[in-house]
Amino acid sequence: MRRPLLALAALSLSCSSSTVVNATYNFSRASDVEFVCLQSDAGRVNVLPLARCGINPADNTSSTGNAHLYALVTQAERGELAVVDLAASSGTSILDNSPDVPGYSFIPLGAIPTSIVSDARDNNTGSVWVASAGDRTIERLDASTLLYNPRRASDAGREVVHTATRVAMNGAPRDLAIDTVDGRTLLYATVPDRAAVAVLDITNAAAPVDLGFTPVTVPAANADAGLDAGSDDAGTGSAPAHPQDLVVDPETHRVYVSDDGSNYVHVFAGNPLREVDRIAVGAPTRAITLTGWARRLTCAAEADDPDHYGRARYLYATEASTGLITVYDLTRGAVVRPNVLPAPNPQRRMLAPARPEDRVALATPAVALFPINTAEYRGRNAAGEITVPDACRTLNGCGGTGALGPTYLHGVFVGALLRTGRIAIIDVDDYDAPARAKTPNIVGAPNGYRFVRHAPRPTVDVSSTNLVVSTPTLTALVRGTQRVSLSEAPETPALGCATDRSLATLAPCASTAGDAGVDGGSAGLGGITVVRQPRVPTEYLGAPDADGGTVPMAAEPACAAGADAGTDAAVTNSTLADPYAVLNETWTLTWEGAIPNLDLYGVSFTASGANAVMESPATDFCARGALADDTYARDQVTVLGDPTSLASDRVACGALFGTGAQPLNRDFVLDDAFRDRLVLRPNGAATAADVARCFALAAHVQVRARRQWMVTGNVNGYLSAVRADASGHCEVDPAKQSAVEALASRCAAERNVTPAATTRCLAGRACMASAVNGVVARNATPMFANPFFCVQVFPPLASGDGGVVAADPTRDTQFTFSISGAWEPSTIEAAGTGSFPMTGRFLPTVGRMYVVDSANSGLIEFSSVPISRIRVFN
Amino acid sequence: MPPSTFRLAVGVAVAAVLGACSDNNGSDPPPNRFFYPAALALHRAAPGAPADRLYVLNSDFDLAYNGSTVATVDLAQVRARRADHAGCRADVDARGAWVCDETPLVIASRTKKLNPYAVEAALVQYPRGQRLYTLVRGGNAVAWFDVGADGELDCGPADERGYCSATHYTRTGTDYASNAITLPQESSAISVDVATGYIALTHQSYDPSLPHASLLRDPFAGASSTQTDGPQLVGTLSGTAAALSSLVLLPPLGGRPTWLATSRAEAVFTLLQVYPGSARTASDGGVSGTQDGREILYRAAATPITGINTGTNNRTIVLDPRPAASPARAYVVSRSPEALLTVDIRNPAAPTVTDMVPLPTGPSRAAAVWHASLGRTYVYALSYDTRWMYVIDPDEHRVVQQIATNRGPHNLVYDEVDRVLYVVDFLDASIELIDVDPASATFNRRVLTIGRLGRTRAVE
Repeated sequence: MRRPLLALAALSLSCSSSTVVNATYNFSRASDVEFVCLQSDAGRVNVLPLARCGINPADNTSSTGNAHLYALVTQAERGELAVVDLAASSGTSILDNSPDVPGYSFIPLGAIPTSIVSDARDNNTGSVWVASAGDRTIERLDASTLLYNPRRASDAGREVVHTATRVAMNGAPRDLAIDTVDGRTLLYATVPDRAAVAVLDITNAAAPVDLGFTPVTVPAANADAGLDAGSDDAGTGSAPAHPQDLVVDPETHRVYVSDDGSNYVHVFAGNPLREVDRIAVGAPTRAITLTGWARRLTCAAEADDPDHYGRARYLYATEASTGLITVYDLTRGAVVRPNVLPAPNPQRRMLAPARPEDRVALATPAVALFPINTAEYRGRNAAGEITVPDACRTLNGCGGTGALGPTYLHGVFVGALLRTGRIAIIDVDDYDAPARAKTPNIVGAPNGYRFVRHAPRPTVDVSSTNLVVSTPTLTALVRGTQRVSLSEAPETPALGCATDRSLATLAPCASTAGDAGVDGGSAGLGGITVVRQPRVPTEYLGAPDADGGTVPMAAEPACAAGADAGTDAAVTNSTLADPYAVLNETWTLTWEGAIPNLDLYGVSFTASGANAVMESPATDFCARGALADDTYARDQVTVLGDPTSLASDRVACGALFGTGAQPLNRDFVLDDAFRDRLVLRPNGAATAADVARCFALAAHVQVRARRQWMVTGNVNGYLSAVRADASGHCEVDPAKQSAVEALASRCAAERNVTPAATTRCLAGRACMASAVNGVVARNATPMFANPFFCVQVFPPLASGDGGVVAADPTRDTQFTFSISGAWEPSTIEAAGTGSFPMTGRFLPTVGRMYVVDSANSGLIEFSSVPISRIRVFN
Repeated sequence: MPPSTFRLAVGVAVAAVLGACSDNNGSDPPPNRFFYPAALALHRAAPGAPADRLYVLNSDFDLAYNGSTVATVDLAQVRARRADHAGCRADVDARGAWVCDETPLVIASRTKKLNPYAVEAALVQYPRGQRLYTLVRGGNAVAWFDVGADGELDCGPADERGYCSATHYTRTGTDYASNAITLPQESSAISVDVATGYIALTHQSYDPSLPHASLLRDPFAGASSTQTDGPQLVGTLSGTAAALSSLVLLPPLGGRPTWLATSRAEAVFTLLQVYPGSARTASDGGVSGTQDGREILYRAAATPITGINTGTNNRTIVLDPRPAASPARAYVVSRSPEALLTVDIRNPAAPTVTDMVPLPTGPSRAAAVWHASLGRTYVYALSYDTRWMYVIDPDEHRVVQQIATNRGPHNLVYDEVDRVLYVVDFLDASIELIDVDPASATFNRRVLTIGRLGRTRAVE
């Protein structure tokens, strides 16, 4: 009796119905993905619209009965199509199309498939179209044959040919898109090596009609010229372009084509298709996508800052060679500046200074873009208004769960697939924005905001914690890279706060961690004030609801010319300063620190009169920040290593310069600085001839600040304001220097400090003042400022015959502190280390994202509420 | 047996065994066979002339023999076989192609024997003549040959075991400070600056404390030189990224020979330069206008590779050969992820990756070919593990063709006169000819294989 029970138990265990996905790496260079909804019905397979297929979030089975959602993944290496059942209830999700062959066999395609699209017709049929770059064809597969399995009883005896039609392209097609206009279904394909867009009329899928090629051109003479609507300039002063990807606007039926051979995105329309416009985006582009509609914040806000608050749809594209993302407002016809902080930040400086202002503030290049319009997005109604569900207009957010985590997506976004295998979410119109305001009475609900954008709406509280500046540490270099901590004492430098420095006031600043201060407030921790911008003014917000809770938001207001017509409002009038102005970063002030990237090997010295000329091939001294200027900075060169003289000079050079371990007389002040060379003054002990003779071979040098603090951040680096003039001479960039001086003036005013106007310090450096009658005055000490923080630095004090004087710190003495709690966009790991991401898609019908990785991961599936990885199919 | 007799017998037996082992020098490598071929070099009687000899470096990877060889293939015979297929069989894996035994095509009398593990070769045309350099890991040396007008290799009188003369191996030298130096281990790549005679090597050891680059100078290079000595080791360089794997010569920067190197251990491009020594003056006792000869190899820049997931396993680097004032692009084969990288090198001190195209598993070497009639460069990248050669159009950002190869495609060399790629198959011990003439009916197809497929070494 026991045996049957045991057998039954074993059988039940083996018949577990959980979905199993084996990581067996059957995919080989996955390149693109499309989705179809297929319903198996009594031996017949119906092709349904995607909305007819659903997935149970709990167990990933089908929520629509026998209608399953399938992913079709092209395999570039073997020229095949893998079919993945995304709602498989047992076994493996990847379909083996030839069970007679060991291992997984996929549907054969033409060589090197690059793109795949599908159409589902009203009569439960549909086709899959695949561009084959190797065979130079577009082939059509009947979607109902995708599930063919000769071992299945219903398929027994059938002879199935998957590829129903093959259209020769006389060129290698790259990207595909489908549009239905005026009852006709059209298939568009970019053909880069023919500089054209091909059009097929696939209304009758079984007999596609080749409508020919439409040239993609750029102006031959005037690179900035655009087309007048309706003009046809093909062959008139134009040159071939190099089309790459394309996207169709289903509202206007316009086709937008990226071009990695020119600075344009091309716009096509009409029947026959023709180029009707060119959008000058400033760089060659590759990936391209269209967003859904974004609502205006208020009419006043839109008027002030249309880049961030306008009612618009956007065209996103990646730069072909850098992966930076450019944004174009299709509604008003303008390039957006997504890297500029939104109004009313008065200085409108950049979110990420290292990126151009007209590029999204992402540090990592993007390889693909895909629109994310969640189920709550409804586009425009018949009246042309953009509406959102009522639930999304409350403090409880679209999901009704209050302040939401940073990875919940409700609204309009763009997914940016990064080259590192991660995904960044760009916020176009986050419907949960009202719920992301700080609501401290909701326990355990993180409300941090982590999207990138056009900078997020300033009503969103982007951080659940205040900005924090860590206690500054003071260290000295003892040997090599070994450092020792220093305590505040008369003989150490100090960061200034509220008082002057004298022997009587040695520690003017508190040393406990905490908030670095509110907007416009007093000097904060350790003498460091974090520079922040004021948040949105009340006129942008309108009046909050009387109960402080639910705000009955009106429909999107219509803006009368010159008037604010609505009370479309955010829900709180936050008093927090704009944390977008700051980055989480560690800053270091180093006394006479080496200028980054000017630690050089292989320099050569020659004598030029009394001076020595130092040259280093491929080094741009100006761009890296070296300067010889009596007003702002006169840097110095330190020669390192052992002398490399001839044998006959060895003794003399050793006596003059010592050794690398025990150097002597190694510092030389710059007499002048040029892009390709530095001119050094003799240092009193050594002449130019001495330097050239004793360091005759490729020498090792460092260019250092002289009697200044080098300020560097681990994110922003050294924010230099030095450039080369037309003759190659290093000079101060007046615009950058003025911007920094303006920040310093504002900071000084906030701290009630009035530094002497004559005391000027080069941007990126901090300077100190001298002691007068034993006191170093705040008002005499230059204010250091950069876009992120400001501080004053006091020198050490030394007692001498003349009384108490200011002394110089030991070289390489450092202050170090960190800023944390600032907003940072999150990125989500998609394929991880060693990946090669190719493309991404978002399916609003199931609320899931899919990423194709050409390396090992294959097809990766994510949920969107919250964003998290669910499954991997390979 | 009495104990004393037993001990005597054992002693005799041991002596016999030891005596036999001490006389066993191993088997001599076959002079007319390929066995684990690793590298190729082409010889021309004059610049621009059709190549007449193909040197095949057989590595003896499995130590079946007592040395590597440099075998000389008669390309006139190869062209004849390509035309008449005499004695060859049809290639069942490539329609219209043929497989020919290498034995009649190798000039056996010209085969030279080296220490085992010869891994790379470079043939250089100097004003005075040609030299062939080979990297030999067995014995850790650079072996060099004088090359005659008809392609005959001269490595000095062979010793009693048939190896090239010891005078044709470079293992040691002195640096600028007169310190004795030794060639670092695990040489991986070689690049020669013809104008100066400087030879840069990379070494792929992972130990960060070891040198990973070295510099030789061949006095034979000077147009007015009368020296016949071989290259001299003049410097080694530590402190670079570990496991440097490949390097390419760039146009001189600041008048100094310059190379760009990749690493298989770190995501960094390393710019190497040679400081040729200081100018002498009469005041220091020298002859004005001459150099003091104390050259030094130094790391001019080390640029982190950004934009790639890891980028820590980069291999071959080749320059884009399209006509230009100076090369603007290089192509790098990466293994993590497996991709062909396009690198902007307009500022050689800050090379920037601008594009990536996926490659099959295990990519190895690549060659860039400029097709003037097509107006574009194609990069031919080998995949050792999957037996593919991918033809990539970097401007189109796509793979344009896949060419199936034999087992273990490892290295290749381009003949721009015949417009053929020679691909060495390490595992199948064969050489494939790939037609890369756009005007040919067999463009981007294999047309001939030299070797006996399915064998890795000769079986007599």
